[in-house]
Parts: sequence; structure tokens; C-alpha cells
Amino acid sequence: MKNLEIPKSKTTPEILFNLSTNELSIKGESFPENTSEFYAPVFEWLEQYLNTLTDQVVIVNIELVYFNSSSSKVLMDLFDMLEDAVQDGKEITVNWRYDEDNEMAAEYGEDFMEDLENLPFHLVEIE
Amino acid sequence: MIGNLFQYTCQFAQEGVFLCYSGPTSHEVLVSTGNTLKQFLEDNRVDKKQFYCIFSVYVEMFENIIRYGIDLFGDNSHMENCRYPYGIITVAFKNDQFTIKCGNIIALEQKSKLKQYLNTIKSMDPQIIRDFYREKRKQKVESECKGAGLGLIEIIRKSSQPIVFSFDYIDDYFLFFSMTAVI
Repeated sequence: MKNLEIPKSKTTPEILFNLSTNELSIKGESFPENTSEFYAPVFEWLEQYLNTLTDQVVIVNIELVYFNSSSSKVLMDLFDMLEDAVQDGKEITVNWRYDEDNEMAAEYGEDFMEDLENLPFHLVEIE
Repeated sequence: MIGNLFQYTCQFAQEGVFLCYSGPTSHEVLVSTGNTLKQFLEDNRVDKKQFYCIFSVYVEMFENIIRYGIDLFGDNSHMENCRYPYGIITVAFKNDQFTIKCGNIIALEQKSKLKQYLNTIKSMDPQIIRDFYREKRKQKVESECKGAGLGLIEIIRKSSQPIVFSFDYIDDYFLFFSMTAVI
């Protein structure tokens, strides 16, 4: 397995999944032309990765200043997948990072947090 | 031929319209006009929260046109494969409020379902629509839906006033659907 590296574009975020540090990061804006097509390789990679995990501590950093409603659906699917992994005993933490003046990003984070039961989900304000 | 463009421009100016796109819609057009909109809002130092509400409504409305609109000006027999649906979208600023309007052509049979759905979500109070959004986000996507089916809910949640929509008769097969959101 290789690291996953997708550079950012005008409508898609930068995605970096690092195997050696076990850090996954999604950063930027997300309103792709075809959301499921864009995120398909991310889910594929993640599924493989989660299967190889043993006792590593995984940190997922999400820092999206804007995302459209279909990306919101994809994020929920992603968190559901991570939540299942946590139930399987994997150690995963999500940091929902947002700018202190981006009230909307904070509200979205709260919405996700309330929909998750087992996945540790932290709201992190960036100054 | 087309009416006097100067008159259109004057009407737009009176209503505070600073952005208008009318024509074939595509993701590329959304990105370029969306960036222009962002630039305009930044230059005018619009508050961050309002900024993202406006941009969000703009994107969702535009994506709805791309996904569900029909190209009436093309050959209707190729409707199913229509690549660039026709749409019109305007953004105005007047009396401290931003108004975003969109319009596109739909098939007559799409009306009843859309109208019923819009009336249902329009009548929900903020907490109920928030729960409805989250519930829908957890569900599997309906096969006939080209997106996540959350766009209209998102538009309503971002609007500071109830949305207004209408269906205008074109002919026995098509309607002009339009929607107004105020932020």
C-alpha cells in the first residue's frame, strides 16, 4: 500500500493519507463536479487501510472551509466507516478544524458530532 | 430579436443585481461565476457567515440546474442526454439583503413532486429541518436522485426568509421553475 496524495483543485480539497504517521488529512473546499467519482479512490484506500490496522493511533484532520451538500453526504459516509472501525477496536480520532471566524464550519462540525456515537470527534478552533 | 440590453441593465441596476448568468449551465460555468461572486463579496467585506450562506445557496441552486434542468433550446428528442441544461441565476444586493434567484426548465410531470416536497420542507422550523437534514444524510441515496438530495434543504436552511418559488407555463410539456432565496 502507498500513501494517498491528491492535490487540491479549484473545487476539491487536498487529501493526504500518510501510512507511516497514520495521519489522514482533508483540507480545502469541496464541491466536485461528480462527488462520488472524486471520493471513490479515497473510500477504496481507506477500506484497505482500515483492514491493515492493528494497534496504531490514527488521527484524522478535517479542515474544510466550504463543502456542498453532496460532499456533506460523503463526509457522513466516511465518518460512518470510521465509526464502524472504532467499534471493531481501532483507535481513531477525528479533529474537525475550523477558523474562529467561520461560524458555519463550526455548526457543521456540531451536526456531525451529534450523529456519531463511538467515534471520538473533536471540534478544534484554529486561531 | 432580443430587447434592448440597456433596458435590461437598467432594470438589474434598479434591483441591485450585480451578477447574472443566463445560458447553458455546466460545472465550469459554476466555478468561474462562483469565483467572481466570492471575489465580489470579499471586496465588499461581507461578513464571513453571510459570505458562506450566499456562496452555499449559489452553488446548490446552480448544481440543481445542472442536474435537473432541461435544454429547451436544443433538440428535445435528445433530452435524456442533454449536456448543457439552460438556466438563469441572479444575485442582488439591496436594502442590506442579498437575494439569489434561479430559474430553469423542467418537464411538466416533475412539478407535483417538487411542489409538494418544497412546501413540506418550507414549513419546517429550524430545529425540525436540521433533524430532517441529518436523517436524510444518514440514508442511502435514492436511485433517481443525481445528488445527495440535500440541496433544497441546504438552500432553505441558509435563507433568512422563507423561499419563494413558482412554476410558469411554457407549453404542454414544459414549465419554467424559479426560486428566490434571501440572505
